[in-house]
Amino acid sequence: MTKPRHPTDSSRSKEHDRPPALDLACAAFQATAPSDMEVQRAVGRLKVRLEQRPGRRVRPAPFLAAALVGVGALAYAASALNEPAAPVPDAPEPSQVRGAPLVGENPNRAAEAARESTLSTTAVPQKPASSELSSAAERAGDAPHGERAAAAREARARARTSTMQSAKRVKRAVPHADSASWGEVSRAMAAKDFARAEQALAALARQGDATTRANARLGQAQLALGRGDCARARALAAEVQASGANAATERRAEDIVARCAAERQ
Amino acid sequence: MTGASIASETDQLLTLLYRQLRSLAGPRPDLDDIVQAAAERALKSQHRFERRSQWSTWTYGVAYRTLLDHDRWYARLRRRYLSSEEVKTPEPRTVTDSEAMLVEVERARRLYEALDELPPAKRAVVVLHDLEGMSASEVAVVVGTNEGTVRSRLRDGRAKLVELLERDPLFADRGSP
Repeated sequence: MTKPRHPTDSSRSKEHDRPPALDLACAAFQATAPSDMEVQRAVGRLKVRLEQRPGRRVRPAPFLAAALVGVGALAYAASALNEPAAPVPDAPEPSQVRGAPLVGENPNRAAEAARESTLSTTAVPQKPASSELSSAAERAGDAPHGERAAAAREARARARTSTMQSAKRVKRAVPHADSASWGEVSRAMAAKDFARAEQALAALARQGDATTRANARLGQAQLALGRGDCARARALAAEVQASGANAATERRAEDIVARCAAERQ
Repeated sequence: MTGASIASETDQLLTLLYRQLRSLAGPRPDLDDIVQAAAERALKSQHRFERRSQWSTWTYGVAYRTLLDHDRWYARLRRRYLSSEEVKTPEPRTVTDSEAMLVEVERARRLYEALDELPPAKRAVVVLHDLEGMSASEVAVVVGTNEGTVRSRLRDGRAKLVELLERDPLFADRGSP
Protein backbone atom coordinates (compact mmCIF):
# COMPACT_ATOMS: atom_id res chain seq x y z
CA MET A 1 0.00 0.00 0.00
CA THR A 2 3.03 2.23 0.06
CA LYS A 3 2.75 2.89 -3.66
CA PRO A 4 -0.49 3.81 -5.35
CA ARG A 5 -1.73 1.09 -7.58
CA HIS A 6 -2.99 1.63 -11.03
CA PRO A 7 -6.45 0.43 -11.69
CA THR A 8 -6.50 -2.74 -13.69
CA ASP A 9 -9.84 -4.28 -12.82
CA SER A 10 -12.74 -4.64 -15.16
CA SER A 11 -14.60 -1.75 -13.58
CA ARG A 12 -12.06 0.52 -15.20
CA SER A 13 -12.41 -0.96 -18.65
CA LYS A 14 -15.09 1.52 -19.60
CA GLU A 15 -12.85 4.38 -18.70
CA HIS A 16 -10.87 4.74 -21.84
CA ASP A 17 -12.30 8.19 -22.21
CA ARG A 18 -11.17 9.31 -18.77
CA PRO A 19 -11.25 13.07 -18.57
CA PRO A 20 -7.77 14.54 -18.86
CA ALA A 21 -8.43 16.56 -15.72
CA LEU A 22 -8.68 13.33 -13.79
CA ASP A 23 -5.44 12.06 -15.25
CA LEU A 24 -3.73 15.27 -14.25
CA ALA A 25 -5.22 15.02 -10.81
CA CYS A 26 -3.99 11.46 -10.48
CA ALA A 27 -0.50 12.45 -11.51
CA ALA A 28 -0.45 15.36 -9.08
CA PHE A 29 -1.78 13.14 -6.33
CA GLN A 30 0.97 10.59 -6.81
CA ALA A 31 3.68 13.17 -7.22
CA THR A 32 2.81 14.76 -3.89
CA ALA A 33 2.46 11.55 -1.95
CA PRO A 34 4.35 11.78 1.32
CA SER A 35 7.98 10.77 1.11
CA ASP A 36 9.38 7.99 3.26
CA MET A 37 11.20 10.56 5.34
CA GLU A 38 8.01 12.46 6.01
CA VAL A 39 6.20 9.26 6.96
CA GLN A 40 9.00 8.19 9.30
CA ARG A 41 8.95 11.56 11.03
CA ALA A 42 5.19 11.33 11.43
CA VAL A 43 5.44 7.79 12.78
CA GLY A 44 8.03 8.93 15.32
CA ARG A 45 5.74 11.75 16.46
CA LEU A 46 2.77 9.41 16.67
CA LYS A 47 4.68 6.79 18.65
CA VAL A 48 5.57 9.39 21.25
CA ARG A 49 1.95 10.50 21.38
CA LEU A 50 0.70 6.93 21.76
CA GLU A 51 3.19 6.25 24.54
CA GLN A 52 2.30 9.45 26.34
CA ARG A 53 -1.44 9.09 26.09
CA PRO A 54 -3.12 8.76 29.46
CA GLY A 55 -4.22 5.32 30.50
CA ARG A 56 -7.79 4.36 30.17
CA ARG A 57 -9.73 6.10 32.86
CA VAL A 58 -11.49 3.83 35.27
CA ARG A 59 -14.90 5.24 35.80
CA PRO A 60 -16.06 4.24 39.25
CA ALA A 61 -19.68 5.22 38.86
CA PRO A 62 -20.93 2.17 36.91
CA PHE A 63 -19.03 -0.23 39.13
CA LEU A 64 -20.31 1.49 42.22
CA ALA A 65 -23.86 1.39 40.94
CA ALA A 66 -23.53 -2.29 40.04
CA ALA A 67 -22.11 -3.08 43.46
CA LEU A 68 -24.93 -1.20 45.18
CA VAL A 69 -27.54 -3.02 43.12
CA GLY A 70 -25.89 -6.35 43.94
CA VAL A 71 -25.77 -5.62 47.66
CA GLY A 72 -29.38 -4.47 47.56
CA ALA A 73 -30.47 -7.62 45.76
CA LEU A 74 -28.64 -9.81 48.27
CA ALA A 75 -30.16 -7.93 51.18
CA TYR A 76 -33.61 -8.29 49.68
CA ALA A 77 -33.12 -11.99 49.09
CA ALA A 78 -31.83 -12.49 52.62
CA SER A 79 -34.75 -10.59 54.12
CA ALA A 80 -37.21 -12.60 52.04
CA LEU A 81 -35.64 -15.87 53.17
CA ASN A 82 -35.57 -14.86 56.83
CA GLU A 83 -39.09 -13.50 56.79
CA PRO A 84 -41.40 -15.73 58.83
CA ALA A 85 -44.32 -17.32 57.11
CA ALA A 86 -47.01 -14.73 56.70
CA PRO A 87 -49.96 -15.28 59.00
CA VAL A 88 -53.20 -16.13 57.32
CA PRO A 89 -55.88 -14.28 59.24
CA ASP A 90 -58.34 -14.23 56.40
CA ALA A 91 -58.05 -17.76 55.19
CA PRO A 92 -60.35 -18.82 52.45
CA GLU A 93 -63.48 -20.50 53.50
CA PRO A 94 -63.13 -23.81 51.81
CA SER A 95 -66.84 -24.19 51.43
CA GLN A 96 -67.14 -20.85 49.67
CA VAL A 97 -63.88 -20.48 47.85
CA ARG A 98 -63.25 -24.07 46.99
CA GLY A 99 -66.82 -24.88 46.18
CA ALA A 100 -67.75 -27.31 48.93
CA PRO A 101 -71.49 -27.47 49.06
CA LEU A 102 -72.93 -25.91 52.17
CA VAL A 103 -76.22 -27.05 53.52
CA GLY A 104 -78.99 -25.55 51.42
CA GLU A 105 -76.64 -24.50 48.63
CA ASN A 106 -77.03 -25.69 45.07
CA PRO A 107 -74.30 -28.31 44.65
CA ASN A 108 -73.97 -27.66 40.89
CA ARG A 109 -73.32 -24.00 41.49
CA ALA A 110 -70.83 -24.83 44.16
CA ALA A 111 -69.00 -27.20 41.85
CA GLU A 112 -68.91 -24.54 39.15
CA ALA A 113 -67.49 -22.06 41.60
CA ALA A 114 -64.92 -24.61 42.62
CA ARG A 115 -63.83 -25.10 39.03
CA GLU A 116 -63.55 -21.35 38.50
CA SER A 117 -61.65 -20.83 41.69
CA THR A 118 -59.32 -23.68 40.83
CA LEU A 119 -58.59 -22.19 37.44
CA SER A 120 -57.89 -18.80 38.89
CA THR A 121 -56.05 -19.79 42.03
CA THR A 122 -54.17 -22.97 41.32
CA ALA A 123 -50.81 -21.20 41.10
CA VAL A 124 -51.59 -18.62 43.75
CA PRO A 125 -50.83 -19.44 47.34
CA GLN A 126 -53.46 -19.15 49.99
CA LYS A 127 -54.41 -15.65 50.83
CA PRO A 128 -51.38 -14.41 52.65
CA ALA A 129 -52.06 -12.11 55.46
CA SER A 130 -50.18 -8.94 56.01
CA SER A 131 -49.28 -7.72 59.43
CA GLU A 132 -51.35 -4.69 58.54
CA LEU A 133 -54.41 -6.85 58.24
CA SER A 134 -53.75 -8.63 61.52
CA SER A 135 -53.27 -5.42 63.40
CA ALA A 136 -56.36 -3.89 61.81
CA ALA A 137 -58.39 -6.92 62.71
CA GLU A 138 -57.03 -6.85 66.26
CA ARG A 139 -57.82 -3.17 66.55
CA ALA A 140 -61.30 -3.90 65.31
CA GLY A 141 -61.67 -6.64 67.89
CA ASP A 142 -62.56 -4.21 70.65
CA ALA A 143 -64.90 -2.09 68.54
CA PRO A 144 -68.67 -2.52 68.26
CA HIS A 145 -69.94 -5.07 65.76
CA GLY A 146 -70.71 -2.63 62.88
CA GLU A 147 -67.35 -0.94 63.15
CA ARG A 148 -65.64 -4.29 63.42
CA ALA A 149 -67.24 -5.44 60.22
CA ALA A 150 -66.28 -2.27 58.41
CA ALA A 151 -62.73 -2.44 59.69
CA ALA A 152 -62.46 -6.07 58.71
CA ARG A 153 -63.76 -5.33 55.22
CA GLU A 154 -61.29 -2.50 54.80
CA ALA A 155 -58.42 -4.57 56.10
CA ARG A 156 -59.35 -7.42 53.79
CA ALA A 157 -59.41 -5.09 50.78
CA ARG A 158 -56.03 -3.70 51.76
CA ALA A 159 -54.61 -7.16 52.21
CA ARG A 160 -55.91 -8.23 48.82
CA THR A 161 -54.19 -5.30 47.14
CA SER A 162 -50.90 -5.89 48.90
CA THR A 163 -51.17 -9.59 48.13
CA MET A 164 -51.39 -8.92 44.42
CA GLN A 165 -48.52 -6.49 44.56
CA SER A 166 -46.18 -8.79 46.41
CA ALA A 167 -47.17 -12.16 45.04
CA LYS A 168 -43.58 -13.23 44.46
CA ARG A 169 -42.49 -12.22 47.92
CA VAL A 170 -45.41 -14.02 49.43
CA LYS A 171 -44.67 -17.15 47.45
CA ARG A 172 -41.17 -17.12 48.84
CA ALA A 173 -42.31 -16.32 52.37
CA VAL A 174 -44.91 -19.06 52.63
CA PRO A 175 -43.28 -22.33 53.57
CA HIS A 176 -43.35 -24.78 50.74
CA ALA A 177 -44.98 -27.62 52.65
CA ASP A 178 -47.84 -25.37 53.76
CA SER A 179 -48.60 -23.99 50.37
CA ALA A 180 -48.50 -27.49 48.93
CA SER A 181 -51.02 -28.63 51.51
CA TRP A 182 -53.39 -25.77 50.81
CA GLY A 183 -52.97 -26.56 47.15
CA GLU A 184 -53.84 -30.14 47.90
CA VAL A 185 -56.99 -28.95 49.69
CA SER A 186 -57.85 -26.77 46.71
CA ARG A 187 -57.38 -29.59 44.22
CA ALA A 188 -59.34 -32.05 46.34
CA MET A 189 -62.23 -29.61 46.73
CA ALA A 190 -62.26 -28.89 43.02
CA ALA A 191 -62.42 -32.62 42.37
CA LYS A 192 -65.17 -32.92 44.99
CA ASP A 193 -62.92 -35.37 46.80
CA PHE A 194 -63.95 -34.22 50.25
CA ALA A 195 -62.25 -37.10 52.01
CA ARG A 196 -58.89 -36.10 50.54
CA ALA A 197 -59.61 -32.48 51.37
CA GLU A 198 -60.41 -33.49 54.92
CA GLN A 199 -57.12 -35.38 55.15
CA ALA A 200 -55.17 -32.44 53.81
CA LEU A 201 -56.90 -30.08 56.21
CA ALA A 202 -56.19 -32.46 59.08
CA ALA A 203 -52.52 -32.44 58.07
CA LEU A 204 -52.55 -28.68 57.98
CA ALA A 205 -54.22 -28.55 61.38
CA ARG A 206 -51.29 -30.50 62.80
CA GLN A 207 -48.52 -28.43 61.28
CA GLY A 208 -47.77 -24.82 60.55
CA ASP A 209 -48.31 -21.85 62.80
CA ALA A 210 -51.31 -21.10 64.98
CA THR A 211 -53.14 -19.16 62.29
CA THR A 212 -52.68 -21.91 59.72
CA ARG A 213 -53.93 -24.49 62.22
CA ALA A 214 -56.96 -22.34 63.07
CA ASN A 215 -57.79 -21.86 59.42
CA ALA A 216 -57.41 -25.56 58.74
CA ARG A 217 -59.76 -26.38 61.61
CA LEU A 218 -62.20 -23.82 60.31
CA GLY A 219 -62.05 -25.55 56.94
CA GLN A 220 -62.68 -28.90 58.61
CA ALA A 221 -65.64 -27.38 60.46
CA GLN A 222 -67.09 -26.06 57.21
CA LEU A 223 -66.64 -29.45 55.56
CA ALA A 224 -68.36 -31.09 58.50
CA LEU A 225 -71.18 -28.56 58.21
CA GLY A 226 -71.44 -29.31 54.48
CA ARG A 227 -71.74 -33.01 55.33
CA GLY A 228 -74.43 -32.17 57.87
CA ASP A 229 -72.23 -33.24 60.80
CA CYS A 230 -73.19 -30.33 62.97
CA ALA A 231 -71.82 -31.76 66.17
CA ARG A 232 -68.32 -32.05 64.74
CA ALA A 233 -68.62 -28.68 63.00
CA ARG A 234 -69.60 -27.03 66.25
CA ALA A 235 -66.80 -28.74 68.14
CA LEU A 236 -64.23 -27.66 65.58
CA ALA A 237 -65.61 -24.10 65.49
CA ALA A 238 -65.44 -23.95 69.25
CA GLU A 239 -61.86 -25.12 69.06
CA VAL A 240 -61.09 -22.32 66.62
CA GLN A 241 -62.75 -19.79 68.90
CA ALA A 242 -60.82 -21.08 71.86
CA SER A 243 -57.51 -20.95 69.99
CA GLY A 244 -57.55 -17.16 70.09
CA ALA A 245 -57.52 -16.77 66.32
CA ASN A 246 -57.93 -13.37 64.79
CA ALA A 247 -61.26 -11.58 64.58
CA ALA A 248 -62.14 -12.63 61.07
CA THR A 249 -61.50 -16.31 61.69
CA GLU A 250 -63.34 -16.10 64.96
CA ARG A 251 -66.32 -14.51 63.25
CA ARG A 252 -66.44 -17.32 60.72
CA ALA A 253 -66.31 -19.83 63.53
CA GLU A 254 -69.23 -17.98 65.11
CA ASP A 255 -71.08 -18.17 61.81
CA ILE A 256 -70.64 -21.92 61.75
CA VAL A 257 -71.93 -22.24 65.29
CA ALA A 258 -74.90 -20.05 64.36
CA ARG A 259 -75.64 -22.17 61.27
CA CYS A 260 -75.46 -25.28 63.35
CA ALA A 261 -77.93 -23.76 65.76
CA ALA A 262 -80.22 -22.85 62.88
CA GLU A 263 -79.93 -26.40 61.49
CA ARG A 264 -80.88 -27.82 64.82
CA GLN A 265 -84.02 -25.67 64.99
CA MET B 1 5.23 -11.96 21.00
CA THR B 2 8.29 -9.98 22.03
CA GLY B 3 8.41 -6.30 22.77
CA ALA B 4 10.49 -5.64 19.68
CA SER B 5 8.03 -7.36 17.38
CA ILE B 6 5.15 -5.47 18.98
CA ALA B 7 7.00 -2.19 18.43
CA SER B 8 7.70 -3.19 14.87
CA GLU B 9 4.05 -4.06 14.27
CA THR B 10 2.99 -0.75 15.76
CA ASP B 11 5.45 1.04 13.47
CA GLN B 12 4.09 -0.80 10.47
CA LEU B 13 0.53 -0.01 11.47
CA LEU B 14 1.30 3.67 12.00
CA THR B 15 3.12 3.87 8.66
CA LEU B 16 0.24 2.25 6.87
CA LEU B 17 -2.38 4.39 8.56
CA TYR B 18 -0.44 7.58 7.99
CA ARG B 19 -0.12 6.92 4.27
CA GLN B 20 -3.74 5.87 3.96
CA LEU B 21 -5.09 8.82 5.86
CA ARG B 22 -2.81 11.18 4.01
CA SER B 23 -4.41 9.87 0.83
CA LEU B 24 -7.94 9.98 2.14
CA ALA B 25 -7.81 13.26 3.99
CA GLY B 26 -5.01 15.06 2.21
CA PRO B 27 -2.50 17.25 3.96
CA ARG B 28 -4.24 18.88 6.89
CA PRO B 29 -3.17 20.24 10.25
CA ASP B 30 -5.04 17.63 12.27
CA LEU B 31 -3.73 14.67 10.30
CA ASP B 32 -1.62 13.45 13.22
CA ASP B 33 -4.67 13.51 15.50
CA ILE B 34 -6.68 11.45 13.05
CA VAL B 35 -3.87 8.95 12.56
CA GLN B 36 -3.50 8.61 16.31
CA ALA B 37 -7.23 8.00 16.73
CA ALA B 38 -7.19 5.48 13.89
CA ALA B 39 -4.16 3.70 15.37
CA GLU B 40 -5.84 3.44 18.76
CA ARG B 41 -8.97 2.11 17.13
CA ALA B 42 -7.04 -0.41 15.05
CA LEU B 43 -4.97 -1.63 18.02
CA LYS B 44 -8.12 -2.01 20.08
CA SER B 45 -10.02 -3.98 17.45
CA GLN B 46 -7.27 -5.84 15.63
CA HIS B 47 -8.47 -9.12 17.16
CA ARG B 48 -11.57 -8.71 15.02
CA PHE B 49 -9.59 -8.86 11.81
CA GLU B 50 -10.80 -12.12 10.27
CA ARG B 51 -8.36 -12.27 7.33
CA ARG B 52 -11.21 -12.13 4.85
CA SER B 53 -9.48 -9.22 3.21
CA GLN B 54 -5.95 -7.92 3.12
CA TRP B 55 -4.58 -6.34 6.25
CA SER B 56 -4.12 -3.04 4.41
CA THR B 57 -7.74 -3.11 3.25
CA TRP B 58 -8.86 -3.65 6.83
CA THR B 59 -6.72 -0.77 8.07
CA TYR B 60 -8.08 1.35 5.25
CA GLY B 61 -11.57 0.64 6.60
CA VAL B 62 -10.48 1.69 10.07
CA ALA B 63 -8.89 4.83 8.65
CA TYR B 64 -12.01 5.65 6.65
CA ARG B 65 -14.35 5.24 9.62
CA THR B 66 -12.08 7.24 11.88
CA LEU B 67 -11.89 10.02 9.33
CA LEU B 68 -15.66 10.10 8.95
CA ASP B 69 -16.14 10.20 12.72
CA HIS B 70 -13.52 12.91 13.07
CA ASP B 71 -15.03 15.01 10.32
CA ARG B 72 -18.51 14.67 11.81
CA TRP B 73 -17.18 15.68 15.21
CA TYR B 74 -15.27 18.55 13.68
CA ALA B 75 -18.30 19.69 11.71
CA ARG B 76 -20.34 19.78 14.90
CA LEU B 77 -17.58 21.66 16.70
CA ARG B 78 -17.32 24.18 13.90
CA ARG B 79 -21.10 24.66 13.81
CA ARG B 80 -21.15 25.37 17.51
CA TYR B 81 -18.00 27.30 18.19
CA LEU B 82 -15.98 28.02 15.07
CA SER B 83 -18.61 29.05 12.57
CA SER B 84 -16.61 31.98 11.23
CA GLU B 85 -13.26 30.29 11.41
CA GLU B 86 -11.81 28.78 8.32
CA VAL B 87 -9.22 26.12 8.49
CA LYS B 88 -6.55 26.71 5.97
CA THR B 89 -5.35 23.60 4.25
CA PRO B 90 -1.58 23.65 4.22
CA GLU B 91 0.24 23.07 1.03
CA PRO B 92 1.64 19.64 0.47
CA ARG B 93 5.12 19.63 1.90
CA THR B 94 6.87 17.88 -0.87
CA VAL B 95 10.47 18.78 -1.39
CA THR B 96 11.00 19.79 -4.96
CA ASP B 97 13.39 21.89 -6.93
CA SER B 98 12.03 21.64 -10.38
CA GLU B 99 9.44 23.80 -12.04
CA ALA B 100 7.46 20.76 -13.10
CA MET B 101 7.23 19.61 -9.53
CA LEU B 102 6.12 23.03 -8.43
CA VAL B 103 3.32 22.83 -10.94
CA GLU B 104 2.41 19.39 -9.62
CA VAL B 105 2.41 20.71 -6.07
CA GLU B 106 0.12 23.56 -7.00
CA ARG B 107 -2.10 21.18 -8.91
CA ALA B 108 -2.25 18.86 -5.92
CA ARG B 109 -3.22 21.75 -3.67
CA ARG B 110 -6.08 22.63 -5.96
CA LEU B 111 -7.03 18.96 -6.24
CA TYR B 112 -7.37 18.75 -2.46
CA GLU B 113 -9.44 21.92 -2.48
CA ALA B 114 -11.73 20.33 -5.05
CA LEU B 115 -11.88 17.10 -3.06
CA ASP B 116 -12.91 19.10 0.00
CA GLU B 117 -16.03 20.11 -1.92
CA LEU B 118 -17.18 16.48 -2.19
CA PRO B 119 -19.20 14.74 0.50
CA PRO B 120 -16.92 12.53 2.63
CA ALA B 121 -18.31 9.21 1.37
CA LYS B 122 -17.97 10.17 -2.29
CA ARG B 123 -14.59 11.72 -1.73
CA ALA B 124 -13.30 8.50 -0.15
CA VAL B 125 -14.56 6.41 -3.04
CA VAL B 126 -13.05 8.71 -5.66
CA VAL B 127 -9.71 8.86 -3.84
CA LEU B 128 -9.52 5.13 -3.29
CA HIS B 129 -10.63 4.14 -6.76
CA ASP B 130 -9.42 6.86 -9.10
CA LEU B 131 -6.36 8.15 -7.29
CA GLU B 132 -5.19 5.16 -5.24
CA GLY B 133 -6.16 2.64 -7.87
CA MET B 134 -8.12 0.23 -5.73
CA SER B 135 -10.74 -1.99 -7.33
CA ALA B 136 -14.43 -1.38 -6.70
CA SER B 137 -14.69 -4.55 -4.66
CA GLU B 138 -11.80 -3.48 -2.43
CA VAL B 139 -13.33 -0.04 -2.01
CA ALA B 140 -16.62 -1.72 -1.06
CA VAL B 141 -14.82 -3.60 1.73
CA VAL B 142 -13.11 -0.45 2.94
CA VAL B 143 -16.21 1.72 3.06
CA GLY B 144 -18.47 -1.11 4.21
CA THR B 145 -21.00 -1.08 1.39
CA ASN B 146 -21.70 -3.13 -1.70
CA GLU B 147 -20.12 -2.66 -5.07
CA GLY B 148 -23.23 -1.11 -6.58
CA THR B 149 -23.19 1.66 -4.02
CA VAL B 150 -19.49 2.18 -4.61
CA ARG B 151 -20.03 2.54 -8.35
CA SER B 152 -22.91 4.92 -7.80
CA ARG B 153 -20.87 7.09 -5.44
CA LEU B 154 -17.94 6.90 -7.80
CA ARG B 155 -20.00 8.09 -10.74
CA ASP B 156 -21.44 11.03 -8.82
CA GLY B 157 -18.21 11.94 -7.06
CA ARG B 158 -16.13 11.71 -10.18
CA ALA B 159 -18.56 13.85 -12.18
CA LYS B 160 -18.51 16.52 -9.50
CA LEU B 161 -14.72 16.39 -9.19
CA VAL B 162 -14.19 16.63 -12.93
CA GLU B 163 -16.62 19.53 -13.09
CA LEU B 164 -14.66 21.35 -10.40
CA LEU B 165 -11.28 20.56 -11.90
CA GLU B 166 -12.23 21.60 -15.40
CA ARG B 167 -13.03 25.06 -14.16
CA ASP B 168 -9.41 25.33 -13.08
CA PRO B 169 -7.00 26.41 -15.81
CA LEU B 170 -4.30 24.27 -14.27
CA PHE B 171 -6.36 21.21 -15.15
CA ALA B 172 -7.83 22.55 -18.35
CA ASP B 173 -4.99 21.32 -20.49
CA ARG B 174 -1.68 19.69 -20.03
CA GLY B 175 0.18 22.91 -20.51
CA SER B 176 1.11 25.52 -18.02
CA PRO B 177 -1.62 27.54 -16.21
